[in-house]
Amino acid sequence: MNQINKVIACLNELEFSPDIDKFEHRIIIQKVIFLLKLGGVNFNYDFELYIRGPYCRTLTKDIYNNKDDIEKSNTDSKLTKSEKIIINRLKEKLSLKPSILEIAATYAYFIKIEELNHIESSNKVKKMKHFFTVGRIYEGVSKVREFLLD
Amino acid sequence: MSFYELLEESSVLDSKVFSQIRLLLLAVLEIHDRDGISYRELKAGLNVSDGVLYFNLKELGKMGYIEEEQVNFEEKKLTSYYITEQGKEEWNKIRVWLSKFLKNVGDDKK
Repeated sequence: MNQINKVIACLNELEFSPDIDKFEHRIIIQKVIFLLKLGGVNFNYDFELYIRGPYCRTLTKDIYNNKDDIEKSNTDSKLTKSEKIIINRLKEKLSLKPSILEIAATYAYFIKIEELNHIESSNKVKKMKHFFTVGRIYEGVSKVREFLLD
Repeated sequence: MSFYELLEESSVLDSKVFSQIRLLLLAVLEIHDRDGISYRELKAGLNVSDGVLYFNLKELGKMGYIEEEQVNFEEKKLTSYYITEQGKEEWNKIRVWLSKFLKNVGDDKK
């Protein structure tokens, strides 16, 4: 419960009120939590690379099991000052657009978890996400580099 | 378990699912469970042609193992696929059987 409470606190800080029945909103939560974890917010969720990019099955279960609390923004979790700085940095650098977050999280997985270089990571993203335009991929990659690497 | 018993046990499995693409589809859809996966993600991830993907999705749908739904994604309509409870049961049976099969005939038996 503590972990999902913290997820809700993060979503509140992002001023994002999800509707769990919406496909797009579930994508946003997965990608945001993954990126925040990489950015330094402590979560116990383990993400693996699947077809959609980094994805955590435990987080999905928690989301459905706590649908009401998430949609009503109910949480008693308090974020630290440094966690709030990371969340607001994500808000500033990345939009909550699902396509951007999908690209950003997938690129971040390759560059931070698999420790590939920029070219290799970008090429892998282009292959996995070839249904997005080159411009959108460039945007997602640039924004996540600003968030995580600059 | 003996190899003979494994052969006997295989008769309870749905042989129509035993193709690479169908096994991969069930595995991928089981991982994403209620979140579902869109057609375009399946096509890119599994690297198959539209014809192969469409046909096999339809067949798994007819078997009752998967279902589809129209979802919104940034003002676009996408078709998303989900595994059904029946699909999960069949996939689990196959997974358990394959695991026993590989233990029986795998490299560690040599």
